[in-house]
Amino acid sequence: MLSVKDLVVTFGQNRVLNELSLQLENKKVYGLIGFNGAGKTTLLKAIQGIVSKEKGEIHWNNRKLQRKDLAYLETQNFFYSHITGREYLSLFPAPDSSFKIDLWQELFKLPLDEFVEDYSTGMKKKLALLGILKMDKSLIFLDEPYNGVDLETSRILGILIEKLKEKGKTILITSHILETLTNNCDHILYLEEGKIQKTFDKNQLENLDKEIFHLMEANSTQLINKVLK
Amino acid sequence: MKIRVSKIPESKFIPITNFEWRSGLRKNFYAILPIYLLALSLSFFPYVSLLLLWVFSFFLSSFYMECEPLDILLARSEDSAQSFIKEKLREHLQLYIFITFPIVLLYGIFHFGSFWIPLVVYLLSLINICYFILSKYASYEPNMILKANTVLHVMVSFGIFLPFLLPLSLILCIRNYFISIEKLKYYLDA
Repeated sequence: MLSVKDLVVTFGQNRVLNELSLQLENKKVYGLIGFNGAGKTTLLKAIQGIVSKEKGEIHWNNRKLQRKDLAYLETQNFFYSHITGREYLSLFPAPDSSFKIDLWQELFKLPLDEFVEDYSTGMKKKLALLGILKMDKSLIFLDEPYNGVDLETSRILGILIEKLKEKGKTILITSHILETLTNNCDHILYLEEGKIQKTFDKNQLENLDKEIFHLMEANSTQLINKVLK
Repeated sequence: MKIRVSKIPESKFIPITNFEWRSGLRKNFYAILPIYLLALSLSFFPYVSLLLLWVFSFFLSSFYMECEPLDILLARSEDSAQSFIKEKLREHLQLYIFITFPIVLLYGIFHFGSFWIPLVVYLLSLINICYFILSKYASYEPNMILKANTVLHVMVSFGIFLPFLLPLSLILCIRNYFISIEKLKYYLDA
C-alpha cells in the first residue's frame, strides 16, 4: 500500500499541497482529477521526491518509499535528440528477459532505429511508456498518458492498464479525459485546494460526471454568469 | 542532413551508457570530424593541432548541458554517489583519451624538443572534461537543460589561454565534486 500522510508542498507563497493524505491499495488502478494547476503533477513529483516537500510522510508497503520503487511517466519527457529509440530503451534496466522489444515495437508501431529527434509527440510518449514498462515496477504513475497519442494507442493504453492491473501493479493515472479514467480506474480521487476532497469508488463512477461537474463548476458557473453580465 | 545510425561508426565503440557522447557526436558530427582530421593532419605545424584540440574539447562541453531523466540515473542506483561519479569520470576520460591521444602523440613526435607543451595542454583539457561532468551533476535536475552553466564552461575552456584562469577549472572541479556527491545522494536515495 502507498500511504501519503500530511503532505505539504509550497512554491514561494503558494501552498500547492496542503496536508494532503491518501492511501492507494495494492493491485488497484486510481485516477486523479482536478483543475489545471490543482497540483496533480506536483503530487506525483512530491511522492517521487523530485519536488521537495515541506512536511509529510510517504510509505510504500510499510517502509519509506524510495525513488527506485516506482516508475513515473511524466507529462513531458526528455530525450537526448540523437540516440535511437532502441538505444533509449536499452538504458532502462529490466528485471528479467520477459520484455520483448520487437513485440512492443510491433504493437506501438515505433521506428526504434530512428533518432528520437524525428519522433512525433505521440511516438515520444509511447517510447517513454515502453521505458516505464520495461522496468516492471510494482508502483506506476502515469501523468496524462493519453495526451498526444492517437485513437489506436489510446485504446491500446486502456487495455494495457487493465493487463498491468491483472499483473498486480498499483497504478495512479492523471487525465483530463474523464472517460479514459472511468474505463480503467477502481477509484477516482478529486484534488482541489491542495487536498483530496473526494474519492469515488467503482460503483459510484456512473454518477461521476454529475458529481464532478457539481464540484468543479459550482464556482465556475457563478463566475461565467458574472462575466457574461 | 539526416544521419542514420547505421552509418555512424562511433556506435560501435561508444557504450550506450555514454549517451552524452553518442548523441553529442552525432549531433555535431559534421563540425567535429573536420576539426579532428585537421588536428591530426596539421600536427607538424606548431600549436595548430593544440588549438584544434582545444576547439574539440570545447565542443564537448555542450554534451553535458542536458540532464538525463531520473529513471535513467536510477538505472545505476546500485552504485553509491561516489562510485557513480568515479565510474562516470573513468568512462568518459577513457573515451576522450582514446579519441584524442593520437593528436597529442603526433604533435609530440613532430615537436619532440617541446614535448611538455602538448602534455600540459592535454592535462588541462582532461581537467576540463572532469569539470564539465562534475558541473552537470552538481546542477542536476531531472530532464533539465543547464543553460546557466554555459558562462562558466566558456571561462573554464578559455583558462588554457589566460594564465590567471588556469586554477579556476581545478578549484571548480573540487567544489563541484562535493556538490555533485550531495546531489546524487539525494537522487539515488544513497
